[in-house]
Amino acid sequence: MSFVCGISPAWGHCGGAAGTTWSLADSDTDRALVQFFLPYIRFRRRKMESIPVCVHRPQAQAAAASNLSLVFLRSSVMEEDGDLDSSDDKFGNLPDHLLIEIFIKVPISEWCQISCVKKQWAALFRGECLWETAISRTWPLPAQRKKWPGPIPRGSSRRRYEALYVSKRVFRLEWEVDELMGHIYLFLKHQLEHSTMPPSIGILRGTIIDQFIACGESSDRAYELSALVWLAVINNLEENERTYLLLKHIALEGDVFLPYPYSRSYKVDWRIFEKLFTDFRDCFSQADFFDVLACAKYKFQGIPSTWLGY
Amino acid sequence: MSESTEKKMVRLRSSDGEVFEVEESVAKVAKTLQDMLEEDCADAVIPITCVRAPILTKVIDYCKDQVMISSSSSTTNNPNERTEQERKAWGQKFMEGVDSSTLCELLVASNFLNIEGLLNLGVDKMVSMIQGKYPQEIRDMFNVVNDFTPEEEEEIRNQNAWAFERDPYYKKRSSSK
Repeated sequence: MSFVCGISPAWGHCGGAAGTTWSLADSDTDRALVQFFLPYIRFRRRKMESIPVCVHRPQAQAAAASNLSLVFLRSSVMEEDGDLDSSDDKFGNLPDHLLIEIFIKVPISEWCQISCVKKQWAALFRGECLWETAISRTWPLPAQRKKWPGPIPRGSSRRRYEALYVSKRVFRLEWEVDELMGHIYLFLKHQLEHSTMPPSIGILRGTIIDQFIACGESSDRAYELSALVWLAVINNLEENERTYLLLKHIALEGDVFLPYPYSRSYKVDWRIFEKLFTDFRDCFSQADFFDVLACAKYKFQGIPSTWLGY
Repeated sequence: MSESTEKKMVRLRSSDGEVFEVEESVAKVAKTLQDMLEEDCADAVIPITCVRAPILTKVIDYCKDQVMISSSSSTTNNPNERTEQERKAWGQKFMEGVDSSTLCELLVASNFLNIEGLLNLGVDKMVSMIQGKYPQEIRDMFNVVNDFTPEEEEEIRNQNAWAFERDPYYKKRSSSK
């Protein structure tokens, strides 16, 4: 006679412990255990399902790693029978999935604080489980979305959460492509902010349009959406020297004529110049100012008077 | 359900050995116990292995109240029936004065016994306790030992200060520090 014992997913823990099962053999050493679990075993035995066992994460992980199932079960029994008061850290007794339920209800802006309380918590914020849960609670529909083809990958659950958050906050969208929009936004922002070499804008623009087309958008729509992402990223760049240099680089970049939808967006170009002539006006040297102004005059029909005058 | 089965009693034993006798209907609020009772294991004392007596008392209080609600709402136009608002107020009152360590134990208990309503109450209470606090305040409140070196803590903070930097609320908090 043997019983299958374990933590059922409903009682889940992260880190591979959920759903792990242990077999209890009917030997002398195991009899005490079987006795202990009898009420649980009896009600589940016909179905041969897992038995919910209340365990703590470190034990579950240790047991899963070493396969010392019986030792694990026994020590768990001992501890649960013993004085729970001996542990001062009551939080340590909460299983991970409960901690996750708690964390995702705290405002996002405080997650950074919470993650520094202790190592176990920080590990939860590094793992997939927390982000998966957060996604499925906040955005049940996108949570089921499958991976997509194209140059920009979907990435980890944390990245997905970030993308969804961004698409909600920046684009205020609810429609189907919203996760994709978020990912493309993050991709572009990262490329513009963090690459050491100034990226070739033409190639970036092409990558983004390709990504939309790979996900089934028409040329018109891909062009439109790509312009939306560019505008959002440009508006959200930090105001510093680096951004000034980047915008100047984009503004002065020589025009390579590419067919629609790969051609440059008028709206995006306009915004780049506008930002340079308003937010970054003080950064210009005289020579740069006239270079950029000449470029603007060449590109646009009429130039607002506010852009003129150094 | 006949009169006799409704009055059937169930015995529960807490981790520190105290035995509680409750009506079956009360015990059945806990899904774990309900499963067991439906498989007819009720003759023995059911060990609730990770719950101490004072916590189990509180859990049983909750279950009793749930039974009262469901029995009164089964008849229509009953004056005892609660509105959503009253239920919320009741939940708040139930959790009032629960300290941090009791709350942790209550959470473990309601998780183990699978009582969704109590679990949600506990989670909400916990959220309200840690919300708006700095890491050290949270550690103090729950006796959590800080196992980070200052450098490690800084690193974690930087790792997690990601896309939300644009959140106005976030900015306010981090600049007020």
